[in-house]
Amino acid sequence: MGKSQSKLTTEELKDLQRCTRFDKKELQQWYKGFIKDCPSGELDKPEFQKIYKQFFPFGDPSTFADYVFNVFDSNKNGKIDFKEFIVALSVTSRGDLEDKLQWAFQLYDIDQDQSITYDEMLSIVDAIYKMVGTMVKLPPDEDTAEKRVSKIFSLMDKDRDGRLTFDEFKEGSMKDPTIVQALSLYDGLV
Amino acid sequence: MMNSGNSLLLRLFKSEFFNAWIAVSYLYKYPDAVGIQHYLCNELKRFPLEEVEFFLPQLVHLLISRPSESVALENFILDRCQISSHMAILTLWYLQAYTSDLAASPNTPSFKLCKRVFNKCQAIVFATETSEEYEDVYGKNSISKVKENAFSAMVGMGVMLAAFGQPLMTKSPGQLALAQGRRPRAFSVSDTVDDNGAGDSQVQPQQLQQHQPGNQTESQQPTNPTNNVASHERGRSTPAGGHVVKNDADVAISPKSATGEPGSPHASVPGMNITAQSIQRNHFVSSPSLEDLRGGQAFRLRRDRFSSPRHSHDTAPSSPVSLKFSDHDSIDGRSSAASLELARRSYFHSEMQFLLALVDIATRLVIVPKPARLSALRAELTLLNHNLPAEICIPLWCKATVEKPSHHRVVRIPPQDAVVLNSADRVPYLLQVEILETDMSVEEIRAQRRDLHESEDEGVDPQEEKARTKEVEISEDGAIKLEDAIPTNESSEGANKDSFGPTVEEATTSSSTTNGQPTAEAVSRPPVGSLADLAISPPGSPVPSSPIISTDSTGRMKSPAPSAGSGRPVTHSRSNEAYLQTVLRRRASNSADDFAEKMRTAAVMLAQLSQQQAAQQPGAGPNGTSRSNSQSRSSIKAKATSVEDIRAKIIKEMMALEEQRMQRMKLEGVSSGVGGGGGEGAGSEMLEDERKIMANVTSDDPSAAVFAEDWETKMNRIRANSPYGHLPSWQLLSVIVKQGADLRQEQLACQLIREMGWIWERAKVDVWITYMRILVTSDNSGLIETVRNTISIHSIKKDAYARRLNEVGVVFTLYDYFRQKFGDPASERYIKAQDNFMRSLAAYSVITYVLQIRDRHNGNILLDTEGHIIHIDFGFMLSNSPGSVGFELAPFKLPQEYLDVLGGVNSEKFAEFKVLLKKAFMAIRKHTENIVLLIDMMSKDSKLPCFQYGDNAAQAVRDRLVLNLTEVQAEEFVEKLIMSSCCNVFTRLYDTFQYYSNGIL
Repeated sequence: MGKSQSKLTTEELKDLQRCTRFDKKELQQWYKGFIKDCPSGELDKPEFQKIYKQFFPFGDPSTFADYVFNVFDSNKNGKIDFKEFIVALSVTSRGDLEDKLQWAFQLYDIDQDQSITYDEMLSIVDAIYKMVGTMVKLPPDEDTAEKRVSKIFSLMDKDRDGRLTFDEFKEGSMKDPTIVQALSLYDGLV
Repeated sequence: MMNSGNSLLLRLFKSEFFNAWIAVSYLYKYPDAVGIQHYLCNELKRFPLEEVEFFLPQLVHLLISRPSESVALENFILDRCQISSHMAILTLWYLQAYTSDLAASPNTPSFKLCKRVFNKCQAIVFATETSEEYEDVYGKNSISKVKENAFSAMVGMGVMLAAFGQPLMTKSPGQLALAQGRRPRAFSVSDTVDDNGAGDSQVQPQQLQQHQPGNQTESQQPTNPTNNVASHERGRSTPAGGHVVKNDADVAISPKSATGEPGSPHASVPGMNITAQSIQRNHFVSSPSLEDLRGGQAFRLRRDRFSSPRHSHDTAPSSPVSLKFSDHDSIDGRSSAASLELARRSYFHSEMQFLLALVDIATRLVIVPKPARLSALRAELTLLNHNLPAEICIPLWCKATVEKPSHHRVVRIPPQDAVVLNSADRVPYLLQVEILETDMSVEEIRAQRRDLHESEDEGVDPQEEKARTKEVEISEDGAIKLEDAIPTNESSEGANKDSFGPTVEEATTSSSTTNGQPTAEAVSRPPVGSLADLAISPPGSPVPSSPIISTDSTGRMKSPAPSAGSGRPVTHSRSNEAYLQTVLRRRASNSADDFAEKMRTAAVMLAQLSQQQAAQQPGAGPNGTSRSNSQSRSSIKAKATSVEDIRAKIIKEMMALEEQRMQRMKLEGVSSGVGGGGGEGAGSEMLEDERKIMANVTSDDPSAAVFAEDWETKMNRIRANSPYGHLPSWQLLSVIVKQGADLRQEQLACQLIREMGWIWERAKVDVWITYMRILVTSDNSGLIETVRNTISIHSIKKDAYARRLNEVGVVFTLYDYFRQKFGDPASERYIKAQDNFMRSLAAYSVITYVLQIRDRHNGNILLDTEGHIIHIDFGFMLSNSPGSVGFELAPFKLPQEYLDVLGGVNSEKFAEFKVLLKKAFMAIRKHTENIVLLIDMMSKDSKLPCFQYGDNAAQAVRDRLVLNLTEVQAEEFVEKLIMSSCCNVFTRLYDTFQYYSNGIL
């Protein structure tokens, strides 16, 4: 995807229209916004961490930011470019719940083997807790990352094999309205 | 860990010490830390609104002077505006002032930001247009889309990813990402500054165009009601929380983009439409026209103006002000919610119109010749009174809170108690405002008014009654006499009637045709009322100024007669039912109104004349006079001299009118002899007071006499004469209306004094201060609270010399006054007063020193009836001082006469004074940052004079509080301050200078 240029080419537009649910105008607009925030047209890990620190001043978001970065960086070149960004935005704002869950599953499935182990889940949840810090009051049975992960597995790991498959992940999420709600953050807003 | 610093910060924020002050100070310290800004603003919402309101000047200044990445503060302020109508109005006025400040540099981020927030705030206040911005402000659960902010989108998506891991942790970060995501973006060609958003650089040309000619666009401005309602309905019908279908939005936007600025494909960035139209001042509010005022409906809730017919009056609440917009999407029928909203909007409209009307009076008075100003003022207020009671409150004075949204109602402004305070080139005036602390509707209030002429329903003690009756005569001044005069004169006045009647009638009818336009009041533009346009439109003719009675003929009886006679047809020519109702209910006679109307008409005509004259100068704005004058302008040009003639004639007639009024008043006052104006004062004393008023009304300083009346006495007198005085919730406010002065510095000073007062209160330092409310309504107008029962030391001395209290050649000092007023220095009364003096002097000494308040001549120092000293007028403080003279070098004012009052430097009282002053100083020193923060936050890019000299006003305050010294050293330092202030030669010099240059004693 092009370095810093002021507009998307026709080619690029066509390509993006194929893999997102945005129209030309929207794509151009978002491209402008992206370039404005990120004039080089790409974002690396440290820059990405910096953004998260702005938004989470009281915790340490760096680990979680790295995990998120990896989800965005689908071609694994260590940079997030506009296409990667806008594809993600398309899924999160205009995809259906299944699309979103599929996308989110990647975060937790760190080694990409189509299942989430207890350790993988703990790494992510721990990173989330570190990021948000003590800002949120949690119920006693989830007030540490360990407790939360145990709870997740006791609720969702139906076959008790210590791993969550995508189906278990999906079923568990759909049952929890707070998760469903959180996943609808951008619905209708982008 | 890298975050250790901020987690400490969080610990502070979560500690028990955390308060609004800490929140504000950290908002100030971390302007670009998005997360911290949002956190603190969220926390601030937990504090009572009054606490936040105290910081409002700082918060608005911070917002405007330092555009930042974060939208937290902007959202916070707007959110509070939605909750509190006071907050909304205050904010709107501040932003208006900033808009004027920044108008010279429209390309700065600050200006764009200011404009944007101003528009949003206006949308809250008037709920005028549905636009994306509007919904943004309204729909918390957000029908409002995010803009193309890539970073916040990345965070938002990350938050969604975290949902599975811990959904409870995603709520507030998600909202934060959305809030930041809604920051407007501008991708216009030329813009490089952007950043803080303001997606409207391309509208600029259009705006400037609207800006320059001032009111030229006025005629298009009153948004056409149907349009309004339509868009309003559209907004409502969007399902709450529903998702606007994308295509819909496109459809809504695209037609506009077709008409957008050429070369800018994004001219339709949502929210722009509102920006383009409404940046002008007082978009929907202008001073009520004369016709409106006459009609008595100027401040009525005008649901009809905004609402569609199906919203009847009945569904509207009597107390619209407390409404929150959040209920707009509640299920219980949107029509009631909508009508509540309409009522609220109308309330804002009335409220702002009322205050604007007060300010405009001050504007008009400037043109009126000095001797006639008082009459003109009272005339104006008499007319204003016809529109009261109204569901209007005065913010800052009004005690309503979010929890207890019970706003007071302004019911009456006694015209006879208003006073003109002449200054060099402005005419501020003082007025009393009667309010009711009640939720009653205007109709209910009206139903409870008592008729002072006939009803003696309640048992009044005879003396009070007598006082009242007499007062009525006085307060109606010419009224009663005029009424008597009517029958006797009507016949003999026949010929005169012919010559006067038609003219008046013509003027009035034609004016009402003008006002026949649906939104006439929005069209008419201060300072010129619409009547004047027409009245003088044939400038060459000899008649135009004759609504004012010419008086050259016979005696004093003659002049009132035509005024009464011609008044009749005027009344009849008005078809307005409502007005007739008002007339019928009005206790005053028509002739008093006639007088008022004539005076006002004359004043308005004068204003009109001078505006036209100005218009003839090349370069002057030819605005606001588009209607009838356009045709006559050429003829005016041709006959510039005749304009001068008219002007002279009007003035002459005003003077004559005033002369007669005075004549009558004098006769009335003197002949009525017995009994005072009310209250407790003995008859003779009151009589003397009255003579003094008499002597003073025509003199330069009528204020002195008015101030001399004890507050309680005055209040009782006014109460006794008010048709609403018998209501238990009746109260009286006293304010000065100022025009042509930026009160923001005054306000800052009063805020600082208040903060110091709190510090002393908490530290239990037993000093005394008083605090004045200051309501800023623009960058050059506002209201100031008067301090009750006070008189300036200058006036004390002037009065003393005038009454020859001392032998000729002997200086009259404050000590003399204290003895005269409070008795022998050994007496209990004197000792009490001396103590009061001492405690207030200690406080104000520290205040004047710390804030470097200058220009401390005796006109700016008051004394109250209990002996407290009070400083006012803070035009010079912190870094600026009166230009020509830089010799106010003493730390504070402590002349010999003060020492004498205290009993001399060797007295116990003086020792006590020193101890107290030290304690007061040390307490402030301990809380230096409380003071410094308030100053520091205001200083960046400030337009206030007090920040114009010296780089760092805040640091200078720290320096004066000698933070580098130990406690012991600091106390020694204060001792030195006191000693060097004692009888300081410079202080004396300054007073002498003031005496010789300004006649201030």
